[in-house]
Amino acid sequence: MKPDTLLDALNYVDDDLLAWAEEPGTKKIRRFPKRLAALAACLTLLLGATAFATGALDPLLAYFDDPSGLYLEGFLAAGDSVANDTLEIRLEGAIADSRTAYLVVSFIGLDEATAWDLRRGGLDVRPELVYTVVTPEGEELPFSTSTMGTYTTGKSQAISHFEDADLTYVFAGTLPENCSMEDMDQVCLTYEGLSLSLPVGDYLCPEYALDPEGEGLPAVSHLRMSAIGFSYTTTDEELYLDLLPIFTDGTVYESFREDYGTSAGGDSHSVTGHWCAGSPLALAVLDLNDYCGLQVNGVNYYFVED
Amino acid sequence: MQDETILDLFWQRNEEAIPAVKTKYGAYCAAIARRILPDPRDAEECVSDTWLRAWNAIPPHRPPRLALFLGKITRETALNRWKANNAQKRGGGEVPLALEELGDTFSTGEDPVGREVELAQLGQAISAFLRTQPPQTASLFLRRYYHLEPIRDLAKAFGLTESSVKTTLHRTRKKLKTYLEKEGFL
Repeated sequence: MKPDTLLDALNYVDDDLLAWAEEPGTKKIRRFPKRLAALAACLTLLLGATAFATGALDPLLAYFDDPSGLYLEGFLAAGDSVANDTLEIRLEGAIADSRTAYLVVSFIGLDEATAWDLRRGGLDVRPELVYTVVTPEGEELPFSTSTMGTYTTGKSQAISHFEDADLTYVFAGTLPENCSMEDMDQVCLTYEGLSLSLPVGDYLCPEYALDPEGEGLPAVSHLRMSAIGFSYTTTDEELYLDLLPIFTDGTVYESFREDYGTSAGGDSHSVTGHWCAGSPLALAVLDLNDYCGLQVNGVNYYFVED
Repeated sequence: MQDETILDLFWQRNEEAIPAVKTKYGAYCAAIARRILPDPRDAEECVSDTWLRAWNAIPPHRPPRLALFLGKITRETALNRWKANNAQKRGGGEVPLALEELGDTFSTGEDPVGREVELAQLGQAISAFLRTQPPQTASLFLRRYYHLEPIRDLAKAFGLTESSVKTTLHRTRKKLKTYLEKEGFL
């Protein structure tokens, strides 16, 4: 194969991978001695993946890394589904914080042709999918940013980690600035007349506001940390934050890797992000009982009750 | 301006779409073009071509991620321009270095299959392979061979030595070759 064929083929790499590779958070690699901790984390992931491959773990753990097990039973399990003659859409799991809602949704072909199209990528459901949030007054709002991704294998075959599903997507929707998921009623996913609704309040994970110890960073305000991510407002759009969770014993989670996306609004700049568990599609879910704050560019911020 | 608003302008065939997209993504696309085309005039023309191709593609297309969509057009246009220049011995930039690295691992023989459909399938296979790799390995590979970032810049961004970056890329190329052989692409 000619090398320039490979260069050309890279233009067809999945968008979510390209976007993820561009994220500043994925670039932050720390050098020894932190490598030992990173190695331990990789081994943990590898063991988890091996256990998953042998069927020992819930398939949801391919999408959510929940080592504490706290969230798998409570927040993540969903199970609602809708169907027409050819297609079933099933909600596998969901979790949200005040800014962002994550849904794991499977598509199941109810006839051979639909199943084949889903698995081979011929039926691209993405352009027709609508992912929205509904206020208690019944107003349907678009998310300010919305992304989705799926695992694929060679020759355009999609992978679902759920045995009976043909295709599984992870959906992430972030609210517009100054809105909170706590004030919302439902998140909705609609595809060609099929609509799944989820009472988002049932899936909100723990979250804290954070205050700095002493003088905080001047360009950062409204810092919040949840089990699945973080948010803050900054007046400096170019600001890069190095975020490290602080354990309750005061030590810092040195090997932690972060990943985030941004959305701008007005004079300020609202930034939201999620904890990344080794791939763009796997969300790390932290047990906040183990943490008391975040170290941000070397400045300690601690949880405060809202 | 939000991407959705810019896309609405394209869909309305409103020519304000072009200055809007230039303002928001001009620097981003120019950076991609400059990594491939060392001559600033070539890079500038390539970015102008990007706006024209986007105008022709939207509608009917409505890309879910406008930045990636424009970046891909820029990269493809710049690579084609580079190939034309190279035929006239005016090539340069990061492309020959990346091709040399890939040529170390992959043979330079003829492609066994037809182009367009197979390129898409090959891209999917590369995606699947990268998802099995550690995040930093996948990120390094994409930033070197998709974004064509210089090795010294990658070393700086990742806090590694240039030698370490080269070693990681070399191992990843070998693993990719094994994977593509297994999948029937080689």
